[in-house]
Amino acid sequence: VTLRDELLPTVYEARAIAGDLGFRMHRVYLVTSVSSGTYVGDGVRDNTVTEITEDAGQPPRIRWLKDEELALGGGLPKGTVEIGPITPAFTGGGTDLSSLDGSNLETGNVRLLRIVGPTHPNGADYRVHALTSDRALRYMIQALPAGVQAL
Amino acid sequence: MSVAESMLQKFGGLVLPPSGDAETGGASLDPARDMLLEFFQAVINSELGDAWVVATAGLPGNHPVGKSATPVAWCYPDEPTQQVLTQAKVAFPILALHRSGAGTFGDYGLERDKLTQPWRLHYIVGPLDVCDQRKLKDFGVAAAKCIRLAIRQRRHKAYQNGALQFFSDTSALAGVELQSFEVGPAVFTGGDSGSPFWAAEMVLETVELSGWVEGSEESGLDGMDLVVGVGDEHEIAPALVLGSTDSET
Repeated sequence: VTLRDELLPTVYEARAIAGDLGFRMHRVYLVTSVSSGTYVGDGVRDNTVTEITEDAGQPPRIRWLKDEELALGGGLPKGTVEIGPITPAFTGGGTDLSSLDGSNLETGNVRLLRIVGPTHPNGADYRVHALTSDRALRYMIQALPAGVQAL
Repeated sequence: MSVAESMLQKFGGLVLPPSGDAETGGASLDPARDMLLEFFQAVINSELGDAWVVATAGLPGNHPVGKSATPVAWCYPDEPTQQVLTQAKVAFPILALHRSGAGTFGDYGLERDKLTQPWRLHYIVGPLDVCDQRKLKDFGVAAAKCIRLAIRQRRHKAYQNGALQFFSDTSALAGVELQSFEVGPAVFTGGDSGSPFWAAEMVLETVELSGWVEGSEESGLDGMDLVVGVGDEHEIAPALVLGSTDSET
């Protein structure tokens, strides 16, 4: 057992505190779509929705980048959102990397992130632009609007 | 729109009124694109399949390109932008086709229309290191040559048992021409510092013709008079040639 293994459950719980206190206003879901037809989008679209959570079902931090951050990020579009820290998977919790980087998908499957909260009361879909997985205790996602927003 | 109210015409692969397709939705309004993509996929997989198996035999099992058993692993009937590649799980090599640039309408004879349309065909072999490039990059050039030859023959045995394609009255496309191609490392549209992928981009041009749906009233034209004057820059003899398609006049 490494120090990382011992720390992961602790940071998992700590990252839920803000949610417990009611400060996490948005929730984020992984939406995996499988099309029944020949090409992507053909036929019946079957969605599987899985929420990304920290301990006790609390959501990770979700924030929209400020103008300065967008500029420093090489001209990222307005609406770019940062999700995380997300606790990596461990025995008893966390999020598996393969569900975030899409490596667990079949060819042709579509993966989006759906954010629901005050900014998007009925949910809006985002696509993963960048995934940071080089840190021992956290994953970070940068996501861009995918152009699908329920009114 | 009911059939009774429709013009009952067709233009390329579009037949009015389209009945819709539960499988493809709005994509069924452009069957020429899907037909072309399937044709090109069949040509590449058939002609280059054996060479692909040999070329990829030494690649590791988790290689992003070597996992495919065929030189076309995934087809996409649209432009392969970074936005697409970050939403959908793809498999390399990718074959993607889309209309690109302005389509030009023109007259074809007296009552028919013609659409001349440029297209882009992307054959994306995938991310390759220097060793993989030596083994696989030439598939882009070979794919372009195979497609050029298949278009000239207007058929390939691997597609619809070799049925003839690209004829004005039997196909969605009256003509197809592969005009040029370019091979090299490419970064997808909209990418910031994305990985370079070894790809071949081909420029095609197609011609689509309008016509009437079988059983419709077709043209309201009953006959035609042809009057031709003949001469040179000094003198013209008007109405030297007269012709009429209506025998009663």
